[in-house]
Amino acid sequence: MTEAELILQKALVGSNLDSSQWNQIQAGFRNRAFFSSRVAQVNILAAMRDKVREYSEGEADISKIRMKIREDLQTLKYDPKGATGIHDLFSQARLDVIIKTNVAQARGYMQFAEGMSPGAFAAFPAQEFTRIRHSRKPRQDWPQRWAKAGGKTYGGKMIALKDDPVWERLSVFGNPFPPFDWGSGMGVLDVDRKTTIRLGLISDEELRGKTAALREKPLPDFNRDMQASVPNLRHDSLCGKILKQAFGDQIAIENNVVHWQGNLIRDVLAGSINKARLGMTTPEALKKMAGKLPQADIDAFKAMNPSFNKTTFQQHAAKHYGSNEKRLKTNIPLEDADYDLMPAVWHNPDTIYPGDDHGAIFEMQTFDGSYLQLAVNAIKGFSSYYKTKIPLGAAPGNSSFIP
Amino acid sequence: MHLTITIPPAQLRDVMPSEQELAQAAGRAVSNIVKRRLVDRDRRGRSDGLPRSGYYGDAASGVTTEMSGKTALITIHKEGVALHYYGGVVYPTDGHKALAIPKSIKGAGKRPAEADPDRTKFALVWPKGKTTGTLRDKETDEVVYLLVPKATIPEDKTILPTEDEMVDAGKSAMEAIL
Repeated sequence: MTEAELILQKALVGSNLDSSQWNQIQAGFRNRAFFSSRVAQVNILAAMRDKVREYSEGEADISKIRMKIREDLQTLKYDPKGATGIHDLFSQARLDVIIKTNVAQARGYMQFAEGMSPGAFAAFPAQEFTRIRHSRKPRQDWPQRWAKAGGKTYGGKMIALKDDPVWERLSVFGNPFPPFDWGSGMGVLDVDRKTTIRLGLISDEELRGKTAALREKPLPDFNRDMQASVPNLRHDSLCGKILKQAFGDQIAIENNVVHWQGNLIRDVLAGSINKARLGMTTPEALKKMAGKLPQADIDAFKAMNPSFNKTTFQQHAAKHYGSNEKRLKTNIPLEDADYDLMPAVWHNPDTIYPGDDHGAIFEMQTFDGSYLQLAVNAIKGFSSYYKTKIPLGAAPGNSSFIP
Repeated sequence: MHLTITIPPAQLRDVMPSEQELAQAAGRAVSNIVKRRLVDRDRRGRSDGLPRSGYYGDAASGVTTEMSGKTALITIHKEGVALHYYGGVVYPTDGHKALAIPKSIKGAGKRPAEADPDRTKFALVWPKGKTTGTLRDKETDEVVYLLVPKATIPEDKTILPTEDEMVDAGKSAMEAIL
């Protein structure tokens, strides 16, 4: 897996949580989310994730990436509402944090995973915590933080085994890999086997044992088989609500254990599962139906938890628009980010339009200026999900194609 | 005297690294010396007086090793590293007539279009017949960018270890785990 693929696999999590609230969520789940403090608009996050991916692949320099994100923010009508500096998404400071932290975390994870392969670990079992990149205002308290996290120094160097818990304790993100703090230039350099044994961090025999264990049980796949025990976790607890709100059906909570279920939409697309659900109609969506849809249909939507399958996704408009030439020309094929936005279109659309025969269309604008539309029937459930150049509001009466 | 020691394959696997593990060790070793070289380079600083950008430090953070069977592919995820290593001539793209080289902190790490999106802060000064121009701060007359039709980047093989150094590093790592 490349770092760009790692970034694209992250779930888009729109939420009004601030950074301190995000810090309450366990690192393993946070790492699987693409989020930004107090950004609830998922289509903004989709735009950012796309541009961060571009940067990680070296498609453009950071200045160009910042400019592209600002264009997307304008398209999506982002309003900083008087916020300045780091609180304003247009600001260089905020954009740099979003771009650099996400890329650094993907790279940090990649390097960590490579270093924990049996061969690499046997040859380089430890690492030194040191400055990798120049910082204009370097933090001066790293030695104290290292000691507080339980780290030891060897000849003035901060060194520990790669699997030592000191790394997770050192990181404000709770990760055993860099970055260890926001905008930090500190990182790790491998320490070879001979030096590690000479310093007394591990014996040759213990190292052989650990290497054999890594052969038997390699590092788990980033996006699979993750579970975390959270004490006193209930669906209705604050932590449970935050997790459920953030990750939806990508997590399941059972007996105080949170299970990561992966990306259900990608699994449906890949054919590894036949169908999945996105959860009940949200109060936000119900509010947007009021006055537009018959009350009987709204009541039906209220009780609905519809499922979708592969055929819900409409790559080609022909099946959906029939002979409506005008609408056919507006079709745009769905891309990765569009699939990831489907839960957001269902849970919190920009607008809901009435359709024919108990139908409704949930619509959300995307950062490329086009519109995602989810056609849902109050009786039958999800009908189709597709992308178009023109919003329904711009073409009154055009909803007649709804099946 | 002839001594034969037979070790069941399953137990041998516990004490002897596989070929793939040797490749992992060698790949990591090469990746490490590449990373260390870039870190050393980052610590040197710049000669043009502009604030340090941490370019080579970012490059060091972007060194990854991808294993495919017994082959390790080491990549430096940072734009421009190959250009510095091999050298070359850079021309403007996207319809621009000149490259903009930052000469002030106001332009460091930013394209002119980002530093002055409304085109109100900088004045273009390009004397007739000259091959270079400048973008100057309208208030202070400070040169923010030097504008050139092309830029020649000299080859610099010292940003990476030599092939011999990489081979030695790989060999040492494999010997260490055998």
